[in-house]
Amino acid sequence: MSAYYPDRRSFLKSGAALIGAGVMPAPRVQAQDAEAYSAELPPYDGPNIVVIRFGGGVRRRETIDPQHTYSPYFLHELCKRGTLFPQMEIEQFTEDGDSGEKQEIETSHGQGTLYILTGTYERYKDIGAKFLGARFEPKVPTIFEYLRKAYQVPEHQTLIINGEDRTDEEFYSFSNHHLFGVQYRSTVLSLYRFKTFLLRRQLESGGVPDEEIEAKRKELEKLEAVDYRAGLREEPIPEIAQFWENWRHYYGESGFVNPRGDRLLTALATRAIQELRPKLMMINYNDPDYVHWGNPAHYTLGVSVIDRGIQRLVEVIEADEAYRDNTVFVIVPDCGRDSNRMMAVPYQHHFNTKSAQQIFALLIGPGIQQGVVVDKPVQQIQIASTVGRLMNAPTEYTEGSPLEEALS
Amino acid sequence: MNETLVESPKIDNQLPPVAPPEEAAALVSPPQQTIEKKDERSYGSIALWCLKWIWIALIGTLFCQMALFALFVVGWAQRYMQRCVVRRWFRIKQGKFTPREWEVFVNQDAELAYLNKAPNWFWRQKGIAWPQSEPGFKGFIKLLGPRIAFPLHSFGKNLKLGFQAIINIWIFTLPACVLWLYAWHAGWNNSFNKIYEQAYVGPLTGILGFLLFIAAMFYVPMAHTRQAATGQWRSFFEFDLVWRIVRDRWLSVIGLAALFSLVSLPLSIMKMAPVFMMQSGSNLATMSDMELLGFLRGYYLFVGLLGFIAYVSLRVVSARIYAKGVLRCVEKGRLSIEQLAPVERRVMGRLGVIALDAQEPRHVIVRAGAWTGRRFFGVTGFAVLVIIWFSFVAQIFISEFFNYHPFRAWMNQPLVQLPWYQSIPQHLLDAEKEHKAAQAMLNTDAEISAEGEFE
Repeated sequence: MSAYYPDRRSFLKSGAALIGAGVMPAPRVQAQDAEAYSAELPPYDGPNIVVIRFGGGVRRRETIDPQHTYSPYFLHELCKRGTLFPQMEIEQFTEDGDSGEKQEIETSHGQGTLYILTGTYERYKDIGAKFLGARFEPKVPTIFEYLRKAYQVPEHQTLIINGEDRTDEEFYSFSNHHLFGVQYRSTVLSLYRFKTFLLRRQLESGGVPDEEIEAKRKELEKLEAVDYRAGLREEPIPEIAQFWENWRHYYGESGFVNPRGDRLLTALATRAIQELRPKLMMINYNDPDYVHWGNPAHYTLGVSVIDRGIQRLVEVIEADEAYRDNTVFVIVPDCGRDSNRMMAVPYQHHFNTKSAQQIFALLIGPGIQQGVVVDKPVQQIQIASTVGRLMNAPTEYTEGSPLEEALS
Repeated sequence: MNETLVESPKIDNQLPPVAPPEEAAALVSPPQQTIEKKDERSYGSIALWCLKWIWIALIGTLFCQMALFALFVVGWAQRYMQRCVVRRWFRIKQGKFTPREWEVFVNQDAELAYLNKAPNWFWRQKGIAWPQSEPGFKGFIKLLGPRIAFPLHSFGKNLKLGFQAIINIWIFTLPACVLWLYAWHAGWNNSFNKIYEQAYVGPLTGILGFLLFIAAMFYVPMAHTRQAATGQWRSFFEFDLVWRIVRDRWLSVIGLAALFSLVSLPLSIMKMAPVFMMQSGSNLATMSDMELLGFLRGYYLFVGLLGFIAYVSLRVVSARIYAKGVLRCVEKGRLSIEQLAPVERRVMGRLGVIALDAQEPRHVIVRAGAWTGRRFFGVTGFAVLVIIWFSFVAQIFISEFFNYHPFRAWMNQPLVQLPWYQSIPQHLLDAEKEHKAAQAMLNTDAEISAEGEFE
């Protein structure tokens, strides 16, 4: 850990010289404190955790219902190997922490992701008050922060793999909690990060024609400005920079060669497992969301894509000696979807209907009961404390209790 | 004169524009009636009038529930529009009139007698004579067929006119609809597969569809009205005449477009409403499929009623715009009477419409001013019309973003094409079939067990 930060600093210095005055690196918040603290922590020797957001909102019908499933691998292969919670739910109401008022819990992707990550239900509001914006800032720590505060785990080994067009979800990597926060954040891998890396690299290498420099610089500034909390103006950490360099070498710079949609997330995750060796990783699948009111086939196809993605991830993990028998998969949707029988295409999820609150969860791996179906209602927020228990990291700000039935 | 099966007198194109032809006068079947009777309608006739319109609305609402029967609504509206056009001419030329005066006007000419009352849905229209025997043997079916089917003359007429109208409307509007259908699929493919090499195709086809539809709607409402007024499908394609009327009545045409957009708004909201009805806490969420089906059928009957009223109202307005436009063009010499259809010439002749010769050329400065004014208002009107029709199309897209109706969302626009409003999801109809099959099986089992007990 201590060897890692000086490298980054020297990298920053050289980067700053190359990029120039237009793209000045911002100071890293409390970086030195974190370094000093982290050096005293014990190394993490628990299981690797892969949280898979079976995301974009899916119904039980197309996933765990044997008559109508579009995810055969998940249902017929994986469920046998772990503990399935077919009646997991998202609560309908929560109490506001300050006023104590009863508030409706929203069923959507950003919110669902944060319920999983923080173990609390909260009525989130976009911090810029943007319509349909999902830029939320959790008040309580994420599971990444719990892990990094308890153990010596470098930032690049706690990963969020994010989709290419939900930039808001890039920034769920740390909370605003005064005892946790940015110094315990996770790292995000996404095309947005790759584009930032690429632009920075192009400007540094001097390969950009003079007439394009200004435009590229503005584009870079725009991308960096999105991450106002952590400051993307910082140069990426060397491992991540190397990861993107390898990605660029393999897929080029056009953006048309690498996989797209959720297939991209699978590619990013498998490469990350091989190159970054994450201890805790969350993959935010989202393809089923591209139905809304469009083509129903995009929903079912999205479910299938995730199913194949999970299969690929399991295969990669099982082929890796360091990960085999030492990795727990936690597969859980961000939210369900409506079953509005009055509509020809019923797959909405913004109306907080019963069906949109009905999800499921599957846990497999060491320390997890095999072939068990826990047929009783449990809550989505119990995932965070369960992950905490598996990592043996205290999760004192989560609200749900661990899913004991799954733990052997 | 499509409405009569009586051999129509041949009205040649050289007929003088004024005064009814003598042949027509000879055909007047009922004796001359005087207008000495009371003009006010009795309570009985008002009640009958109300009952007839309730019947019309009831059948229209029911017909708006199915695509095939919506054709009859189109046909019925065609006939009603023709009546509206003639009444409008009568109103302009005669001033305010009583129902009795109208009755006398149309009944004095056997060729126009069918216009006395609003068209029927099924039965022969009063004023249409029974088919006459034609000389020579025509075969059994040709001889008896019309006589057997004659009581349901209106039903057949509505179907025929509806079919003719919808084909013409489709020719102009379906290309845009097909583009929308493709654009919708391609657009969602962009979302799903992200931006790829051909990503522009979807949005571009959608924009092209927008432009095509807007361009079509500059022409279609007035052409449709002309077809209705003449009773001839070919009239739809009299581009020069239709466009002349559109230009002459451009302000009213803009108003009509605005009315289309305005009327479309509540219907679009009702199209989206099922999305919001079934939310947490709603009783609908706990209903069985059969209960929900019953609710939806009732809901779409209500939508159908409003849709039918909207469809007919728009066509009435369109008919009035057309009627005034044609009359003005004829009287100002922009249209010759010879350019009109036989039925139009006949009515104009009865009303004593006089076509003026083309005006004397005006002073060059006046002409230049007029030219500039026409260009200015033409361009402004064009832009306004584009915006208004865009607002109409935008409603289609927005409502489908909330509640998508695969395929028909794009291929049928109820206010323009078939007034078909019922939209019950297939899974509920399938559930009904299953329910009926289960009921039938239960009944059979009950009968068998009852027979067993009896034995």
